[in-house]
Amino acid sequence: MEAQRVDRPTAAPAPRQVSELLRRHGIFVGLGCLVVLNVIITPHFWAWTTLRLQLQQVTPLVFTSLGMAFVVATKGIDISVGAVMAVASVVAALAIGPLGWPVAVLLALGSAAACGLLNGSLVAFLRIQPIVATLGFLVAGRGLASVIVDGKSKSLYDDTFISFGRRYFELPFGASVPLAAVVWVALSLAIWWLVRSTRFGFLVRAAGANPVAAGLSGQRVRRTTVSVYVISGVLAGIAGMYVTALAANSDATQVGLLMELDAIAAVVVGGTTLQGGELSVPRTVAGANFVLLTETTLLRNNVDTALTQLISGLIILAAVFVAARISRRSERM
Amino acid sequence: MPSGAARRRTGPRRPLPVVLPRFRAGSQPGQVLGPPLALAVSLVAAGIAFDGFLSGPNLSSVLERSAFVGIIVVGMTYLIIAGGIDLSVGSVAALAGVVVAKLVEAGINPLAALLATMAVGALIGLAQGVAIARGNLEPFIVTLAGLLSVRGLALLLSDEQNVALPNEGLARTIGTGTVVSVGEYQLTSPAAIMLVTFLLGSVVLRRTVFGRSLYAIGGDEKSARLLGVRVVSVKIRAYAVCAALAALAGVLLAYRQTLGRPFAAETYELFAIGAVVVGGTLLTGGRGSMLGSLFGTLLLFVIQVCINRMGLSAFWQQLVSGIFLLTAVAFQRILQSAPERRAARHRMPRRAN
Repeated sequence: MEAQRVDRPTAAPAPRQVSELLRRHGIFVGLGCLVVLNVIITPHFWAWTTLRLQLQQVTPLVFTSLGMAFVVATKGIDISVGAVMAVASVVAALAIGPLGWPVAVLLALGSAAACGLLNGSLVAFLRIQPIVATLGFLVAGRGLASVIVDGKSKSLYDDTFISFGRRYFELPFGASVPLAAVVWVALSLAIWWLVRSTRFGFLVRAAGANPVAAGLSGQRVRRTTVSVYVISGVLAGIAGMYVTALAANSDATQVGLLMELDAIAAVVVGGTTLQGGELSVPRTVAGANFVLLTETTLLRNNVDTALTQLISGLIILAAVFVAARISRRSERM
Repeated sequence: MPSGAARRRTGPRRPLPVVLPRFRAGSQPGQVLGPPLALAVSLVAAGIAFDGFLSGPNLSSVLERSAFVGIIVVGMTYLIIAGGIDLSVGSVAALAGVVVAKLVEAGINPLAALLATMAVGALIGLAQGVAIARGNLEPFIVTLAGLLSVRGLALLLSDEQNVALPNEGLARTIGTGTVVSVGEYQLTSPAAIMLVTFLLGSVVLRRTVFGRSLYAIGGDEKSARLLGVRVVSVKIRAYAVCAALAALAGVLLAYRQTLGRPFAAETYELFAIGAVVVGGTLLTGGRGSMLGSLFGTLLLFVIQVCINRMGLSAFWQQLVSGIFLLTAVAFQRILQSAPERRAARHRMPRRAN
């Protein structure tokens, strides 16, 4: 079928009101405010090294939350991303010694895709609710990863693989950008194009906005549903490998722990409603940066870990509340 | 939408008696007979495979180990029947353990401390219920935020340290006392409380307006509202009950271990949801039974103990529980959709996908 030109058939109405504008652009304002706040209150924040660290640390969260955004757009949820990261990490760590890094990367991506395929099939073909299907894998996946390595952490000695996590590009004026940041920016742009300008991107949103109508108009809804879970799995796999490369170590019980919460938070804080039919790449990426920067801000200002957890929970709740309120109000108009 | 005209009750003043059919015999035998059969088979298999599995001490300990999750399962069954879910139960249990330990430390009677802690739990459930039922928010996202923040609260309150409880007196009796013993078969206090909770829970579910309303809401919320069911109030009460029971479980766990641990009861929500689903309650709401949930809980823990006896690590337990949950849901779904599909074939042409 020829590529059709699709003009943003989002479920959301045109941003006429302040509230809708807030939902759509609030995250960028929020991120800006958070940066300014940090420049003022956090010591040594305005330095290239801090920025570089921030860009590096946000990498796994950007990957997982982009995957999550795809799943949320189809009205689903994937809480197994952390477990998939652990599986990919363990597979990469085990395969890299005997097989070399290119094969290890492919195997890890393949296993992550298989995890996504399993989740997606449960949701699309058996029509199990996404939360439960992926809940099962959240438990089983981490169990599987831990069983493979018997719960022991495994160090990596492959220099090429490790350098993916640690390489920097030097820029003028003493600045430097981590390779990882370049990769996530490029990948985000590619995904943005995929979402906005291809038939697949349209289908994902159609499947979330009205699966029955999409099915009746001859679209392959189930196949689309399976693909978004595979995408989520693969992106989580990349995130898992990145974390492994950065630490030069794979610990199945720790890699990606609670990542699903951060990823959901990133999508929700980005103003995306959980009702499906909406997928915004820039807002999700901004949301991921916002979530990580919040945590960094709290930690660098010596706020307790426990309190940080409490605050993260409240932020998610507030964001969901605001997004739900606003989208309902604009529906009523 | 919960505002204006829609919230005004359109039905009669007193709710109509919600009469729901029992499971029609023969319609889905797998869902009614499955859980007890699976439990019987696994008990027999375990009895053959492991020496002394069916002995008094072992079975008593299986029952006791299942008590803490079991108490939570009662509340979770209510919520899932009503089409909701609560992911924060493990965190609430941990917070309850810390709170009750602090209260007992301050010299309050352990029984009074237990009741006060259950009230704290109920308040947390109330808050989440209001956000879900009044605010019309997704249950899983609200309780996910609850999972995070309540655990944070427990850590904050305890300063991330375990809080010790006295290993004597009433707290010890509630935590480890034996209620009845027949030969080597003992019924410890937590296990007895679990069984009583299941019994009461079942009576409430089957015989009260609250219980029948849960089925009605889970079956079709809009119809329930039009029939005069107080949807918002019933939902809020269900979340409060579930969190109060989670708090009870947390208190018993703390009394049993003589410690209020802020890291206690992690992943209890998964076990509780798993037990409910394995017990044949539909995740889509509207159908299910308390007895099934009891069988589901016991089955889950028999399997856990078997894994222990095989000398496999905790990771295997994780793996097996996850696979178990997935298999149960998939199986349930296949059983459920077979008649649907048969009916659909006569009505509609096949979908394009």
